Amino acid sequence: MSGRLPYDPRPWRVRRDSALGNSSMRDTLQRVAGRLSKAKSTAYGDYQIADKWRLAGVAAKRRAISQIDELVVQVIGEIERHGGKVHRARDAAEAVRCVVEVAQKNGVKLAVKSKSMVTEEIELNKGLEDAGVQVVETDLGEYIIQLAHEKPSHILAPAIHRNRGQVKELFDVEADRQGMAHLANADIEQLTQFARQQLRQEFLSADMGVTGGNFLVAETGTIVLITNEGNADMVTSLPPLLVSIVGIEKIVGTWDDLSYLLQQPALSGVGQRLSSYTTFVSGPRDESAMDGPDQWHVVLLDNGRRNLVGTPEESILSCIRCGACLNVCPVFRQIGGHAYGSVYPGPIGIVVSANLDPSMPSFLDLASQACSMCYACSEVCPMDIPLADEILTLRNHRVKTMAEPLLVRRTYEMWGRLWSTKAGYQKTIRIARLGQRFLIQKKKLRWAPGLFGGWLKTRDMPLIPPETFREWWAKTHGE
Amino acid sequence: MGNNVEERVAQFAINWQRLSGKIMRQDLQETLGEALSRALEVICTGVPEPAAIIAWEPFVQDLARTVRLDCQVEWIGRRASRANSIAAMASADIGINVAQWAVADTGSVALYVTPEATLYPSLLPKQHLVLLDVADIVPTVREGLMELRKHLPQLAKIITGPSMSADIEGQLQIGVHGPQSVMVLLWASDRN
Repeated sequence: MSGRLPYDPRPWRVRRDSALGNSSMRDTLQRVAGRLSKAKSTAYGDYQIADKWRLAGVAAKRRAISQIDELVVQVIGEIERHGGKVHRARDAAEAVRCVVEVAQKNGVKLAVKSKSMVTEEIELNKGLEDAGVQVVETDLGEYIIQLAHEKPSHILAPAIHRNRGQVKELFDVEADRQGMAHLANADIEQLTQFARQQLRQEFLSADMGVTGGNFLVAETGTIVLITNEGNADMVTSLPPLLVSIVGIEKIVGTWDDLSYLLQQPALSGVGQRLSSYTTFVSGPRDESAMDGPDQWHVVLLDNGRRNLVGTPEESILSCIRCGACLNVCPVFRQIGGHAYGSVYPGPIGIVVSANLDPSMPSFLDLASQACSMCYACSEVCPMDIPLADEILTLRNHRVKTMAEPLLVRRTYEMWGRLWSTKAGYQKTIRIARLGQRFLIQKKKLRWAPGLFGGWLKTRDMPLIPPETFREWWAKTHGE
Repeated sequence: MGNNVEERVAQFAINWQRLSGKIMRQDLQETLGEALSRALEVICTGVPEPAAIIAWEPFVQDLARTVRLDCQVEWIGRRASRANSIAAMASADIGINVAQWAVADTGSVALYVTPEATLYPSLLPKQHLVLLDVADIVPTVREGLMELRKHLPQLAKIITGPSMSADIEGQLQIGVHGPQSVMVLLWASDRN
């Protein structure tokens, strides 16, 4: 069964231009993505075991995917043996329904959430809010975009598209709502402390906590959460009810497997050996203990994942959501996450969105629109997912299913035919030389009609010379 | 004390401090209570008086009785109800925990929830102090995880540095939801 993912209905052209026009987003993105990429290579470079363990981790992930059905059965048994309750959800709608039911049954009015991509995928907040449950995002970046009613623009740094002034405006509105004084200025430390105070109250009064999961260990039914802010620790230890939503691909077999994988998200994502907090939930609170929920529910989500097992695309299920492919992608660095129109942006976003939800043509289109085939993503992926090859496969599929407009298809066919022979190539040069005569402005090509116009919109092209090297050679030396 | 332990201590110290963690070590001639007093004296300089300090675990409570400080402090322990205990801890300035184990090559400390121990001191106050027996430092995360798997508490965490975020313009901020400052007090038990 294939999955359903939310999508941005605006056409690519609009999404792209709106991203390219946001210069403060592009500045921040360039700086942060560059820094993270550099930090990643340094982190692996001076840490001997990192790469050896990475490879063992890749093997563990691939193994888990090939045994997914057995591991699902095992993990359900283990979680329930430790007092948790497991719900299986075939798709996004089922998962949301399930969480809403749990919330309603327990009279939940306020839910606090730690950062989770899978809850974005199923649009959980909307579902809970429609059912009258207030949901508060507690990761600083997620809190900001929730106030702005936006989607995350980066897997790790969801509010990377907003600058401090824009964040202050959002916080001012929130301060007005609560009859508080505005912050004196847009100082980042003050903004952070404002969020800390606001969210601290929510943590202490919430009826339900919601998390995702970075890993789910089958042999003990343990969910592992990796965060830097400490919000996941609040969410898992304070509210009386905890719901964790986890894609089935997050399951790993054993603690031995986990030990090789645990450091990889931080090493590849931010260049640290571990993130500030690694939290392990193995069951609801024991009566003798202080911390933890009285009830723990785990929702195991399929939403198109199981469908990919056993196909050539199954390696994409190994993704640990580190964001390394986003940070290194020359397209992502220019347009940021929103332009992709899916909750999963960047190279992995193209591949995951189109494969989990094949019904959405705009996801398939991304393979052609948002990739320059530079292969940087394949190179940096710590889980050795052949991202660029997967994108190429999607392009191929797109051509085969004739998803391209006729004019584009015919143009590329003709171009392909001409440039596959020497004579054809030379013919195009002669045609272009004739054609450019009408377009020359100040000794350069500055615009062109129709399909070719796009090339010259943001750059000029040198002219085709009156005589090419080949022509000169033929004239002076003979063929 | 073997050479091996000293190597791990040195490696742990480098990695812990790299993440802006502070570190102090019990001197040969002082008791653990005296070392704890010295550490708290340092932490208290950044806190308004009287400093509210969580001493929850029996081991920490026993030690707290021997602590002598120049600054005014109020000790926070178990209250009549769970809700009251949490409320008291939420308004504390300093939390103290005993590490289950620590990792040399990542600079991390691990805490478990047990009938005697809570994670709240590591989360709710702005200052966190961890007591770490040098014998509990393992070389890599792998040894630590095998230890954790053996005990499998309902809730556990590995702490690697203070609470932080770079969510606004990619600028690093310390002390988002959890502690702004983390300190490890190294000591050597009879096991060494």
